[in-house]
Amino acid sequence: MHSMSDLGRREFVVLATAAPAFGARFDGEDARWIEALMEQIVPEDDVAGAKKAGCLSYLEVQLAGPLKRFALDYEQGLREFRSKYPKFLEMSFADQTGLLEGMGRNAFFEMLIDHTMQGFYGSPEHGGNRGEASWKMMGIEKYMGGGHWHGA
Amino acid sequence: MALDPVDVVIVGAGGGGGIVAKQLAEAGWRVVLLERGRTQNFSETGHYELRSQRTTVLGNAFGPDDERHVRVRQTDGGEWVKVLPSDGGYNNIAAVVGGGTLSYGAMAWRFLPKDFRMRSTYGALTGSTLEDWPVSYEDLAAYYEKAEWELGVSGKAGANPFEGPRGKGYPMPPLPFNREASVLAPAGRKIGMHPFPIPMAINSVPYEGRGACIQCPHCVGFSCEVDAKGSTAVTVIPRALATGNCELRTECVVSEVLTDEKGRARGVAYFDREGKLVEQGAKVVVVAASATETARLLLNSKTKLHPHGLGNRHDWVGRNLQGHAYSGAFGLFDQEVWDGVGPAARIAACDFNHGNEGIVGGAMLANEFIRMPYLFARSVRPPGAARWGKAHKDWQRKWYKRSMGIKGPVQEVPRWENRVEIDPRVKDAWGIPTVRLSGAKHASDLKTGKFVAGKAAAWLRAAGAIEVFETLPGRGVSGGQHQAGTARMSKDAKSEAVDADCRVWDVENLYIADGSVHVTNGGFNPSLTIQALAYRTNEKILASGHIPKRQ
Repeated sequence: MHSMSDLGRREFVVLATAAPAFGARFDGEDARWIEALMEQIVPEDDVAGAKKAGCLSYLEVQLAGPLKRFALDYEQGLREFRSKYPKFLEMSFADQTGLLEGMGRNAFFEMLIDHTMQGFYGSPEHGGNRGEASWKMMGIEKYMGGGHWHGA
Repeated sequence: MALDPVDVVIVGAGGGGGIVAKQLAEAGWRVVLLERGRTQNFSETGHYELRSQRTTVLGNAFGPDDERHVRVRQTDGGEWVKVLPSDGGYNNIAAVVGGGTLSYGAMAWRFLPKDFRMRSTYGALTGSTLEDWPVSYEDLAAYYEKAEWELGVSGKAGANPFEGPRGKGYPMPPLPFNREASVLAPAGRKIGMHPFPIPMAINSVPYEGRGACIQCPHCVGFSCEVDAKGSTAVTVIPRALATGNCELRTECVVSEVLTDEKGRARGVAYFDREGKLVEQGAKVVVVAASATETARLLLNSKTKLHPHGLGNRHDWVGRNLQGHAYSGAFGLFDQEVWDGVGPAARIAACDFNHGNEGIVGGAMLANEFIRMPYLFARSVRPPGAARWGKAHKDWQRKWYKRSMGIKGPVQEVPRWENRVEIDPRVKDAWGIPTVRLSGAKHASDLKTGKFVAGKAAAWLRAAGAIEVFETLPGRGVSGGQHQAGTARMSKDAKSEAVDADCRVWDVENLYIADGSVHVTNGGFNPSLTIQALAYRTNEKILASGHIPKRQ
């Protein structure tokens, strides 16, 4: 589900500290880009999409913790994506979809798919899935979560 | 620092070590039980699915942690890369009191008689170290029974026509079928199969002071909210401690089995939770640290008399690493087949474990445990399905409750080349040389996997699935929670690591009580077999004369 890192944790921490722009939060402009891409991955319909379900918040919370090994990948990946597709945010939703479908396999977008799915479908305790949006969509909210459901 | 010697020191408070601790403590021995993890309560981990034993994208709920542990793994391209415990390639098994049994799904299988006679049944296989066990099903039957009654297994005796002879039935009736099982039972019979309720170390009724299962769907990957699961953490380990003869020391990382000038084990060296190096002397040492860590410990315990590590005179320690080449299928249905009633895995069949034409071995087939929404989103899709976007979301919404999976732990044929060895460079946070893992599955396993997936698909179609897609194993060496084979039993001292009593061939007071000793690993979840062997090994230790008999 996620790539094997060939960096040891100690080496990684050194590198991550050297990365200037990324702490626990994306700045306003980067956040808009990430959130637009996430919304493409899980779009809103009659049920919340990635944006309303708080997938960005999931990512920010976890990048400060267990996902911090991906911090550099985000910094580099987003920078490359923005410079390659500078007009992306100005495009219509449908045109954005078309662009992403046509761009071929892209490591940055693949990483974002995984983390967006984690944020949307994972337990709210991890920082996403606001209001148990995905569980309600699937009709399984009473079975999931902290384990307080007792019997069928 | 050297502590006062005790009778026995056990490395690993998991499925096997917990049993040996209880048996020896009850016999009056002074026991020290060392565990690298902690005692963990349900409230620490809950059912927070991204940090569990089912998916570790946010880390391992039950350890080990990414900060202090590392291994090395060979990629398909032959490169060595570092892997952390939360990476798939690490081959993790929970590092916690209870070990794998704290977070396992608790299927409690007896291997079939033929599983102990794979070489006799199928003959020599090129490229495989396929052998018979030096013990038979008949040798183990009474110990299986003891494990079933002490840990608490629910099931229906006689319902599996392929099972070996058993003395007593199960101590508890089976858990009731959920909707998936109710659909699969008649469908299986219709196509000539013999499905039955899965035997599980889960209380269907209150048992030995622990309550009955509340049928939540979170068994595999989580600890049990109500202690209905017969983990050693809530069964035999508390009983060991209650004797007053057993001391459990947690967060202790064993670095070496110590031996004397005659080549006998004299104890172990470990780092305590403050990082201090401690020597614990003992008359008998039992290693029960799982197939990867047990091999690592034996290989790291080099002396003049054991220049290649303990039990490793013939270079067999760490080899024959095996797990299960899981294979199966998912089916989509017009109607809802998911009802959220746990334990979700409720029905199995052993029609395809053996006797499959042109196939070596096979697998038990069972319906799947919980399909976590995130894992469902990432891995349960027919070929060509949308991987993101509106179509992906719609698929999730439409099919989650209208799908079910059947899969089986394909019995792998062991390979000499599939191995755990000491990495020449990389060390963990304690400075202990870590392992590197390498190898690939035998072509036979992939063939068996394809066969088993076809049978799973057929069962789903018989149950009314409108679309079926197979899931097949990858080529890489497996292990994971079912890891086994790295210190196998043998009849003579010319090969392998331990004798038929699970005693290391070249260290007369050193025993192994985990999956390492499995010659082959059955087409089943292996925990009950590890545990039955642990009961048997305990008797061998008691009879060995290392410790004078006590009243």
